[in-house]
Amino acid sequence: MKNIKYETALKELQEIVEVLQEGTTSIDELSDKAKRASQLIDFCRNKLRQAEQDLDGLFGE
Amino acid sequence: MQSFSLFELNEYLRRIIALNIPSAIWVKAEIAQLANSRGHLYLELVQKGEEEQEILAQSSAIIWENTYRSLRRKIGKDLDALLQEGMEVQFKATVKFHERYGLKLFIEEIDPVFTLGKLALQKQDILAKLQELDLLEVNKQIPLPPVLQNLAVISSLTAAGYQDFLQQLSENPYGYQFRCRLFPTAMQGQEVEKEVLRKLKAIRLRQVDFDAVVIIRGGGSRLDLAAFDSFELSKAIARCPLPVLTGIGHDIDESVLDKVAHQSLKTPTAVADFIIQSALTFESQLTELGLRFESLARAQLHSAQLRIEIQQQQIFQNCREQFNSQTFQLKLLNSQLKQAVKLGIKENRNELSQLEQMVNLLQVETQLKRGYSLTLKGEKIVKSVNDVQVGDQLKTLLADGNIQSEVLPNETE
Repeated sequence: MKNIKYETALKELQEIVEVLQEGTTSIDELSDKAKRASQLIDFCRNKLRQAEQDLDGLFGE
Repeated sequence: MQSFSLFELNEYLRRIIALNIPSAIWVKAEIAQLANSRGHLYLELVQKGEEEQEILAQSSAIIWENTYRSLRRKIGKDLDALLQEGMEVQFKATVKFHERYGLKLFIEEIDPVFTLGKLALQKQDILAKLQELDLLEVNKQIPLPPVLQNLAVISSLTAAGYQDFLQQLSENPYGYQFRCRLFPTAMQGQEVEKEVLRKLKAIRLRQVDFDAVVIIRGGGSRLDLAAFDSFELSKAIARCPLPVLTGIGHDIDESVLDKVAHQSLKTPTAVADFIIQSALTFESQLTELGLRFESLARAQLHSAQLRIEIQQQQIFQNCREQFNSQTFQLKLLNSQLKQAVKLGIKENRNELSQLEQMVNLLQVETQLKRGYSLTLKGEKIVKSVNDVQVGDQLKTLLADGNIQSEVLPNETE
């Protein structure tokens, strides 16, 4: 899960839900989509609470 | 040719001024320069023409230390904000011409209301200009990123607001991590404009690293914040590629900066709350989507389950039906078979018995012809004496006919 931006993650999650809304997803697809959805949510949650600074350059003067 | 000595001249001037301006008068001027030596304040005052650069009048003035202290007691912190280069002030001063030191204004009182009024006018003027250039809304147009996590902070280390801001952010109850990079600037007086402009430029160069710019300083009187009513500053903010949040900590009214910024909040802590809220709203969106996903997935599964069950039932139903119909058919066949068999048997038996009878008859006839006879009791052939009892009617078949007879007891009995 590379470092994707919050907007992209949110958008993808919204799309997944919309596709599900149409009710055409097969059961197998459902499990893949579930995996992806939870992956996206966890990623964002962690990113919000990310301790280590990946913007190290930021703090060099 | 009459000629005066310099002293005579100056002394003459001193007397004229003393005569014509005997007591202190109120004067309006702009402070061009300000110097403090041994507690006394030495000011260069000017009056500028329309185009700002042109100086129409100039004079120097002094505020003795004790006067300054009494003014400080009366006006408070505002005094320092008033006594800034570039500030237009109205003051009461006595005018003295000294043979050696020339003309000097000795300031005794300052009227902050005048400056406030002036500043207000200035502010309107700036706002109008910004309005004209359509700059008021520009920064607001920038879409706020969903989470304000990396912040370029323009404030000063010593500014009260700055520490409150950091603390508020780090103590958020949700465990969110925010990364703030301070771009230290003076937050008071003449330097504000210059320094903030410089920092905004520095931020612009590294805008990719940040989600938003935050300009904060703790409390301060209306006058203190006059520096933020600056056209140049507002223009820079309008043109800033990142959304700008201001928390310049005053409650009276908004500075021009607040009007131009993307979001303007009352205090640095309020800015911190706003930032935390952005993360919280984002996360609740995530959760909400997660829940919607779950309920949709569950519904999907449920309906799939249902479909399977229905199919199952149908299959079961079909089987049962088939089974039933088959068993029915079987039963039918079975009974038909039975019937048929029974029938068949019966027919056969009939045939058999007929055959049998015929056979019997045939055999009987040949025997009868040979002189044997066949005695029947009813339909049954009498084969043993036990078959009959006394009194039974018998029929004896002979080749050429029958004899009816009756059983009599045996002589020997």
